[in-house]
Amino acid sequence: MYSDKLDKILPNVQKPARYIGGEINSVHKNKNEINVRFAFCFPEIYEIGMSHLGMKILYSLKNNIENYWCERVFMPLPDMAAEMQKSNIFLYGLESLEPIRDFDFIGFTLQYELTYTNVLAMLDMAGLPLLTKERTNLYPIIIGGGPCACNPEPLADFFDLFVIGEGEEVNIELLQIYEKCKAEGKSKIEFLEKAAQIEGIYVPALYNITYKNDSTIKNITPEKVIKKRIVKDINTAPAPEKFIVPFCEIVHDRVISEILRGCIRGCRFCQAGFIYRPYRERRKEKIMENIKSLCENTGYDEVSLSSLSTGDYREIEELLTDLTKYTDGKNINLSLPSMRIDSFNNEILRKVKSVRKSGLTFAPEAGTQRLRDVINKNITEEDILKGCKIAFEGGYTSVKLYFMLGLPGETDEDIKGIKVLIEKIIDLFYSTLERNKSKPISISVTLSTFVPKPFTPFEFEPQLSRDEIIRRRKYLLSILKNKKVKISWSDYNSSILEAALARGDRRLGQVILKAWRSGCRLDGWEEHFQFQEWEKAFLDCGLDMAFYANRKREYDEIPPWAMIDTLVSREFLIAENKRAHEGKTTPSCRESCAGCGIGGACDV
Amino acid sequence: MCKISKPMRVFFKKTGRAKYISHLDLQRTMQRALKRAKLPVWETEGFNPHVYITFALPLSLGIESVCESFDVKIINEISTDEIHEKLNAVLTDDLLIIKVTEPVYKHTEIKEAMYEIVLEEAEKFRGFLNQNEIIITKKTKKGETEIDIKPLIELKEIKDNKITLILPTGNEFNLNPLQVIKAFNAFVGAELQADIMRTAIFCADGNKFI
Repeated sequence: MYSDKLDKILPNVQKPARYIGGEINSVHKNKNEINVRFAFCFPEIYEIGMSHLGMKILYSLKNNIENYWCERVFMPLPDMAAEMQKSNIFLYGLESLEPIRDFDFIGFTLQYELTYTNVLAMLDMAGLPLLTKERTNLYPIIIGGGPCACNPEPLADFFDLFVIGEGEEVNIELLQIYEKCKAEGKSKIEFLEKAAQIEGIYVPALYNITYKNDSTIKNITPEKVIKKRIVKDINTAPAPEKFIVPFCEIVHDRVISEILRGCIRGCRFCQAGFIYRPYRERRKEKIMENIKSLCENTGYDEVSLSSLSTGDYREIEELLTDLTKYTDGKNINLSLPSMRIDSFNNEILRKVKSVRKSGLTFAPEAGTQRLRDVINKNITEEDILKGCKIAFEGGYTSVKLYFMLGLPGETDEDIKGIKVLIEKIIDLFYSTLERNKSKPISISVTLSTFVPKPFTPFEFEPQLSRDEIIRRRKYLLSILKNKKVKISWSDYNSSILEAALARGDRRLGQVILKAWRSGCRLDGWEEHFQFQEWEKAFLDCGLDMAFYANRKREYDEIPPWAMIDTLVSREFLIAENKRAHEGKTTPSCRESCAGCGIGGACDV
Repeated sequence: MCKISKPMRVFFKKTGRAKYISHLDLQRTMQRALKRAKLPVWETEGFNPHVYITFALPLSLGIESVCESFDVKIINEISTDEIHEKLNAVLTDDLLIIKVTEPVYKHTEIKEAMYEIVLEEAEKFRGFLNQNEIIITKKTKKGETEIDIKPLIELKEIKDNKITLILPTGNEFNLNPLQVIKAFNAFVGAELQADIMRTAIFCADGNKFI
């Protein structure tokens, strides 16, 4: 236990509360009564990782089993990392304050491609060899899951296995098999072979990849495909009754309740919209019960509903009525992220407003109807203006808008469309008689760069070259000069790297390793991101970032992730890609089934 | 409508891992604890309603204490025992309520605090205090000033590796034990790690703050 050693270094680091654990509702057990110890690693800093609902679900799920103990681990910032190294402190679990190198499992949740070097940094800080082939002991077993695990190939060299799809059931099955193997003195290979029999478990070392002369994939053996796991019933799937209440402030410091999984919309750029299918809603009563127990067990004064599109919940108004009845009397603030502008109405606005006003955010994504049809956003200009009008009449004076640059088939006309749309919104504000007249309108626009992702209809599309991304951004900035509009954007270099890693094959493992060795980590943070080192790493490995990011992929090319089946068929993705090029939209699943292949499991 | 409005003083300890909770974070932690305990406490009205609590004295990050307190307004009849019990049911071992009382002194009457400091070479502390003067730079709102802290340090006892001190504290003038240790480290020419615990708070009349 590191508590004495930590006492010596914690006075020297920023915000030590995030490195010491012991928070309210954290789970502490007697390690002598534990058979399986699990380190749940979120490869980002505490404030981000602690905001994540998936971690809370899996943490409570494992800890509900008496002889399993799940602890939390986050990425230390450089000041802490340096102090730990100086004092010989290996990466430790926040509950026991013991090094995780002695645990049975080390599990990483992979939420974002730019956290991959953090994974290596954390394994290294744990004092473990980075490559799966160099770790011959039965434990610790290094596992990964989460959305990026749908193409786990760039991390194949480092992980012993990946969990594909929803983790609630398969995690427990995996731990049970391990517990048995450990008791029987089985080897790591024996365990991995058994684990590979579980549906949804991918053991990359059991697969062999060959490449063609043009560097695309020739063959993947064996042909066995790993089907993603889906929990049987979202209403009986366990939801945590308690959240750990951090001592220091985190990004989303509030109660979060999942109201639905999957999405009926099918926006063609959106990976989440496809990989989280089928669409399922949790019953209103379940949600209310969950929120009440979480509020009582945390003392939080804010509740947020989690989903990909909150307005699609069939009984959203009834749910908000029940919810505000509960929250109003308790001074609890309600926040509704992920509201589509076309599902926004007076009733919903009134409920959000009844406690405290939080800002409104909408995502038209593209500036013209033509391009919104290409990406299947299925939002009209009328929808956007109607949504804004309701907001302005409701007293809102600021709106946040998200747009993406570089979408397939985008022209300068579409970029100009962003400017035209914003001007229409400003005009609408001043022509709205019942607006809040004490303040001028303020519009904040966030620009991101399109990143093609696996398992979407756009997985075949090239990302724009850097020069072209820069030109288009400059063009938009040159025409969009308005004091009422504040523009911010994400760094395009990070979008390029994201595109390369998202659709990468397992040869990128050496690139990630090299980048990490030359000091890359916390790549998602602008102040830590070293794009030049990444470029150098690609070059040193004889690989081309443009091959992964900027190349159009043919329909018959074998993608690196061909061994993974997310249950949405490739034929469907190809058909959707063709429709995009024809500028044809596809109706939402609720209007008519588009035949994505997920089958009858959805509840639209 | 509330039937009563009665201030209550809640004494708690902040030890072990809890010593790394900053003052601002501690405030939030206690507000949430009061909510979890479902105690009838007064909340501010207006734009952003919240449980209203005021702390007697801030405590520097990294220092433990067994004599911290905050005041909260009760708006319904409830016994001090019940407050005590309900709060402890929703707190951790490192952050526990010691007692709940009706306040006697005002926060502004606080004058001094007692600290127990455990560190190596504690026996050299007498020599440290025997210097003619002990000058430190103290940051104030107006900038940095040099002051002699020797007359401000009241040594109660040195036993084994434990030094017991009384230092001025409160709104008017505050001497942080970390500054004393820093000066002591400079005196012995070492980087000694000190475990510091605040053990009592005293008022201007010499009595313990209750």
